[in-house]
Amino acid sequence: VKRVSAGLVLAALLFGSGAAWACPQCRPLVKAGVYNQDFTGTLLLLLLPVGVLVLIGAGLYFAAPLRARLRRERIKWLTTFNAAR
Amino acid sequence: MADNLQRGPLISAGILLGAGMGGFVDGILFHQILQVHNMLSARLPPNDLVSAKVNMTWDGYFHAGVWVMTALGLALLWRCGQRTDVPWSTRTFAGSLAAGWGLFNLIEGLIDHEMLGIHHVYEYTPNHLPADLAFLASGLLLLLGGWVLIWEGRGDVTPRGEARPNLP
Repeated sequence: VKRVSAGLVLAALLFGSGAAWACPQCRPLVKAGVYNQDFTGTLLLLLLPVGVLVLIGAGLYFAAPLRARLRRERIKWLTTFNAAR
Repeated sequence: MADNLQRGPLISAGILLGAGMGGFVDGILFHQILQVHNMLSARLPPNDLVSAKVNMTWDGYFHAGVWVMTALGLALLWRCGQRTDVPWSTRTFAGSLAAGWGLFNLIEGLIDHEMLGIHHVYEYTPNHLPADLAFLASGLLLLLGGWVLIWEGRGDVTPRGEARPNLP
């Protein structure tokens, strides 16, 4: 009896509920809502926080080598300058 | 060796990974599970199927950007593992992850919620400020907690990598 009941419940769920349909008429409206003349501006706006975070992260990674290189260049320039005097 | 140790590379990898994971928490929790906002929900409220799908598309573009940021963090972490001048510190890395998540909440909160106003943390209320401020406060707390952990990790000096000492 339990098996039959479970089967009936499953059948009711499978065939009794309304089917989920895609929305074919939505698709052109969605495309028009996204890919229009404002697309690039909106995309840049949305990605602005990500860009700022990448700049901070990458800046921190390259800050030390850049500082060391600038220091070396400065010492090199000062040495050349002092030798010329 | 100890004089040449560089903590910056591991911190930057952790910040990018933490910010990326913070972005995914925002997307998974707020956009999808709780559905309290979408990327453009203040400008285009998702009151019908078309508006909801347009918002979903923009959510996708934002998360694609967050994915790129996470991948960049992973690449930097890989390089850190190959360098002999970068201390492989759990405290520094965990602190950087927290700081990155905090930075995400602060920067995304300030730019998207306060400056541009394209969405708010909880869209379905006339007063957006409390939830927006709570989001910013969580960012500040994470950033401070992360900073404390990074500070604690300054004593860790053992690097992981040995093979490629001069990798930039």
